Amino acid sequence: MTTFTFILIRQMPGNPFSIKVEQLMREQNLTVEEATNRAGALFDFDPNRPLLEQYTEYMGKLLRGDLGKSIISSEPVMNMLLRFLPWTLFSVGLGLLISFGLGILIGMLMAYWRGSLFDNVMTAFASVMYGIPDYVIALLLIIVAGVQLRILPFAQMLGGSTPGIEPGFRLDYILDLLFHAFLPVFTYVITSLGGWMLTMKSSTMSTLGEDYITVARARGLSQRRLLTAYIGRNAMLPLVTRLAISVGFIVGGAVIIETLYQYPGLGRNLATAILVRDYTVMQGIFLVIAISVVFSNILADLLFGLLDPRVRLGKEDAS
Amino acid sequence: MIGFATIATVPGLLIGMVCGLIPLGIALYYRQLRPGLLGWLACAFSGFACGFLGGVPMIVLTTAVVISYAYVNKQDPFTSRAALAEVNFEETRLELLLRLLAGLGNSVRAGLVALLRNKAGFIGFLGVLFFFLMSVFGPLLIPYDGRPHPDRRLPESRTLFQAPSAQFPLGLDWQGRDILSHVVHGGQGLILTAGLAGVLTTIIAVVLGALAALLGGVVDQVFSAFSNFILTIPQFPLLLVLASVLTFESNVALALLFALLSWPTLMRAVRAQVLSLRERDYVEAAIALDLGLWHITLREVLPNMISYIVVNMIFSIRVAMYSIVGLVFLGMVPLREPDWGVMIFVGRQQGALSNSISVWMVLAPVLAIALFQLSLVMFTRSLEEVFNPRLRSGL
Amino acid sequence: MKRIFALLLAVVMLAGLVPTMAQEAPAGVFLGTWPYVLKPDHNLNSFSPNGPTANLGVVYWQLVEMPAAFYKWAADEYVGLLAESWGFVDGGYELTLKEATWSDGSPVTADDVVATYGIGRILGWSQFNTVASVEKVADRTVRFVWSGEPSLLAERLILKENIRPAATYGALAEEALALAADGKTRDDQEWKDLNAKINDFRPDALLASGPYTYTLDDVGDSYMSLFWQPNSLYSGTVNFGEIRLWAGETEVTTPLVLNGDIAWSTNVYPPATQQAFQDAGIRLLIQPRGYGPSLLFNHDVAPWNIKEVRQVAALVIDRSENAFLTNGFGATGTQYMAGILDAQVPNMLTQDVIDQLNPYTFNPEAAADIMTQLGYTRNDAGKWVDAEGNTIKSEYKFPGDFADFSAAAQNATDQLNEFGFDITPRAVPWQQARDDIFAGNFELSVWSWGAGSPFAFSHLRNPVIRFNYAGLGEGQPGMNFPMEFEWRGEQINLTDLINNVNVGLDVAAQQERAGKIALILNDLMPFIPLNIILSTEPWNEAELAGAPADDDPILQNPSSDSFVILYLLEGQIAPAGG
Repeated sequence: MTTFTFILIRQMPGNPFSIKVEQLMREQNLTVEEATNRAGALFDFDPNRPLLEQYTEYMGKLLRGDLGKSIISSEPVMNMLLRFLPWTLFSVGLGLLISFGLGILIGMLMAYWRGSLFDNVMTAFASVMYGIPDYVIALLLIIVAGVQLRILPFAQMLGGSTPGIEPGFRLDYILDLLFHAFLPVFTYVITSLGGWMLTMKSSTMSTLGEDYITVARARGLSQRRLLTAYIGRNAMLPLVTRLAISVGFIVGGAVIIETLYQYPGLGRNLATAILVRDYTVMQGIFLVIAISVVFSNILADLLFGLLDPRVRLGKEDAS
Repeated sequence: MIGFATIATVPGLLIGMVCGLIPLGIALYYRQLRPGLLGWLACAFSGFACGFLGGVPMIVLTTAVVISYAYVNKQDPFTSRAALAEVNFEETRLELLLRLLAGLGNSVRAGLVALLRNKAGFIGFLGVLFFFLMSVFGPLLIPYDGRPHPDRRLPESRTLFQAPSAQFPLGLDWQGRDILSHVVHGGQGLILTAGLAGVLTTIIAVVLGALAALLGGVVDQVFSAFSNFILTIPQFPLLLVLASVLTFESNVALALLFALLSWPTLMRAVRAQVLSLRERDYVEAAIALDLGLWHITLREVLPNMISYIVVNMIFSIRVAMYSIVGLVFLGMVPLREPDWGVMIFVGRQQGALSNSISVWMVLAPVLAIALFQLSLVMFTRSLEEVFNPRLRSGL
Repeated sequence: MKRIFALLLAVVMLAGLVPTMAQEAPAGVFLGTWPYVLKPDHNLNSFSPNGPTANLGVVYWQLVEMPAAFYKWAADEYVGLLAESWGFVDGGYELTLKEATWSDGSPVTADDVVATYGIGRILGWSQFNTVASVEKVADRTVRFVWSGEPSLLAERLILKENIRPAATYGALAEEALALAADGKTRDDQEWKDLNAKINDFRPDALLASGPYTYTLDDVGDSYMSLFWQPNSLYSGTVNFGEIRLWAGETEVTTPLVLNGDIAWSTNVYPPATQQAFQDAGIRLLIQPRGYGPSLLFNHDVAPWNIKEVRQVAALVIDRSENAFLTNGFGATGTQYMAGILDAQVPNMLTQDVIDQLNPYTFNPEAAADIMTQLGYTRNDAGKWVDAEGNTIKSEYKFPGDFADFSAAAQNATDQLNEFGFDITPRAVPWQQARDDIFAGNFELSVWSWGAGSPFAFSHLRNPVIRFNYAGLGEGQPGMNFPMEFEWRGEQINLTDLINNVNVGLDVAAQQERAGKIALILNDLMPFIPLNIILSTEPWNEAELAGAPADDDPILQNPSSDSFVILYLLEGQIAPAGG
């Protein structure tokens, strides 16, 4: 995996040097030779250094837990991860939590009241919202609510926190964090909620006809208990794996949303790193994503066994 | 864009009408005039829309329906209209063919009945039909506007964009071209490519997921590890690199590439679901009876998941609709207009979302995709009833 | 509320920095934007890739570490910023600084210039193509000793360079000067080590000669602030106590401009957005940007290796249509097809040469005649075919992520196809497009031509040397346009001609040399200069007063020599209504 990623990102068209040259020319109007000269000395990146040599050095460091330094800024990659990861975990995590929670609840009710007005309205809402890409929602939200209607003080809401505010476990700081997280979380929820609702609904549908549900109903269990303990729990099973994969990808952040809202998350950082071909930073971020995806999948399998006692993983069946 | 993408043609109509003679003739032979006429119409219509590719499959379907009205199953003494004495278990090839066709016809009829019964599903069906009609027959009514029109610039305007007006109901794009014509002409290729991508993704995911769960052991481990590998490959760099070495002439390859990269999420969900289903009584019973892997998968496990799978397939189609344009702009295939994806990409790049006069260039295709997705989701209501009969009784 | 808070913060911080504050900070806040990098990548070493150079951009950086002078393009004259006097002397160039101070109160001296160039030599600055050494002559006077032929280009590089404080970089500069004195070169390991050491150097504070400075604490997620400091030459004239720079690119800054949170932006906005700005009552300042898209031919691919076919292509593309689609009113169709941006043509070429230039006015009929003479005929579909009936098939590869270049290329494709070529467009990421041009892996492509430079050399070099084997490395043919050929009975070495065009101080001789090259390019059409892109910068007059009128010659300065630098320092720009 690591090897594959290592080779992959070095085969990407362009390299940090030529990109810097182009940037200098476009942004500072330098002539080619001027830009080439300046870029050449800006970072010690040698495009002709053998890949194998770079690879052995990288792996050697990695085994000692060292992710290396950014080839652009010479900043240790670990520092960057530590700086940006918490923001992403907070905002995307919160967004996922809300959209998943709301999604399974509404989805279950949709299936339960199948064919009702509630079901139809929610289906329309979910399908349409889920069909619109996040950047369209984000840009329209800012332009319409922020600029044209002026009901959203979006300029103040950009970023992760108000510049100059002292971090600490205080109410004003927490409120400030939530204030700034509102835009990314809201956009994240609104664009992913529909997906959870519809999958939960369809998953619940497969459960509804099951014998044990009929039995439970015959036993006269309350609707609430029926929904939570019997239907919901079983219907959630396939969603748990999906959730796990989403959790795994949290660390990658929401690249477009973070960039548009200037949220200081790992996704924004990744976008920059890809743009300037900062190989070491990309490696670091992709590694963290890979680890967390694999890890959350393992977790999902374990969780799955807990949620559905019928399945005991590792039990060998010959079929 | 794709070989079978097509616009309605007059020769197609003729082909369809000729094709329709087959079910009509058979119907006359069986004296079932009504289904025969309907069959002829269906053939003519699909031939009009898609030429041979529409007409020929429709022969099979309509013939099957016609036969299902007339067919007498001699093997089945209980439902058969034949006298007990005529029951005959010896079957000629022709009889076998007839039986199979009749079975197919019955399914089609049952499906149509279910389709009509569920109101929401029927609306969804109409929606899907609308998109089909729009992309196939729309071009006959609305000519494609492909050249830039600098002459359409309004005085004082800095762009060729225009807000919707009576003449151009969806406004003009950045080159002063009629957006409506791009919406009408630009959907077919994308829907077909994305549809193919979604179906392929689902097939790979369901087959691998079901196999992993039912076979277990090494197979499970290998498939799961493979899905993890795909999940953890950073996709953007991968696509960049692929695009720099691979180029294709058609979008079919893009659909396949999309499917190869996006099956793991659904595969893991299917695997989990099948693992759970496997432990249920009826599946265990089937396993105990040693009914065979295919029987268990197709007859016992899949029907219980069909609704979930179909919804996920729709989502895959939607993701594909938005992702495939990304591959186009990585250079994997030549840039071809009109295309909804290209409209969205170029519109965003041209700042269309910053201005109410230009926003339709992006919103029109986005809403088309959203409504198409809505139609599909509602359409699945009917499909659920077809595949999951227990639901018909309601909860 | 937020602004008051920020201002309070500013005052508190300044009070901390300068205990004996003589002057009060001005009240205004200048709302700008620049895509700076976030902490922890952000640093204060202006020689490093993520230092103030990159983080402030060329305009705002000059308000912090000032250069010697500001160049007025239309008048062809320099205005001294840190420099009091400057000029050519026998065998060299002398620069005398004004009596200025750094933000810590220490004087700006010749030592600072020597230190700056000491490090610049290690970093391979182009100044050292013509400069042998930089010597302190007096306290505030330095002399640049020429190594080769003196040139006006060298003068410009010297005067435009930002001068850094020896107090910060002195130790590194001494090491650098010692290496140079030892006769070491770029290939020596010590040199490379010192280069790396310079890049990794992280000063704690930014010493400013300009009226603004900042610390890392002023760098936020969504904006960073430069704060006024009292010790600059220009501290008394500027009207802003804070310069707030919003992060982000075009899409992010668009709503902020519309909303009035950004008063002036240098981002590149597409025409629809420009329209939105105009509708919101925001003025659009038009300035040159110093390049335009050009259609590049691969001269290894038939029939583009035939001069007449290239001329046909030039005749059948309506360049004003192409310009309008490229960037609305922020682009103009190329008028003089001379390889020099239109605005500089009257300065760089003689009228006699200008009159000889073929204007390639849009003329499909004339083009059709040429095609017929070349033996092509039109088939039923209106496409040109050769004797075997083959259409002229080609692939036009362009960077799909550059809105302007891709629009220019898509429209050029449309127009060429309209005439009867058979061209397929293919969009690729810009990094790949660039690599593919270098590698000669394209048939038709698009990249920049011209330059944001007052020297013909830089214009003529792009793209005919830059994207050609002549300026590329081993195995990179680029356009593969032959640079040595016979032209009008004369043997030409185009590479040499271009490289020598600006040598020396005799302007008339330079014009003559440039004229010959212009005529060659005009005739051979190795590339088609499609149009010239202009910078259209939103300027919110409800917030900022003092912008020049539309016909003010200072707007002929390209955006990198923006009038904002000078006008802000001199106090002409002020908060509106204040």
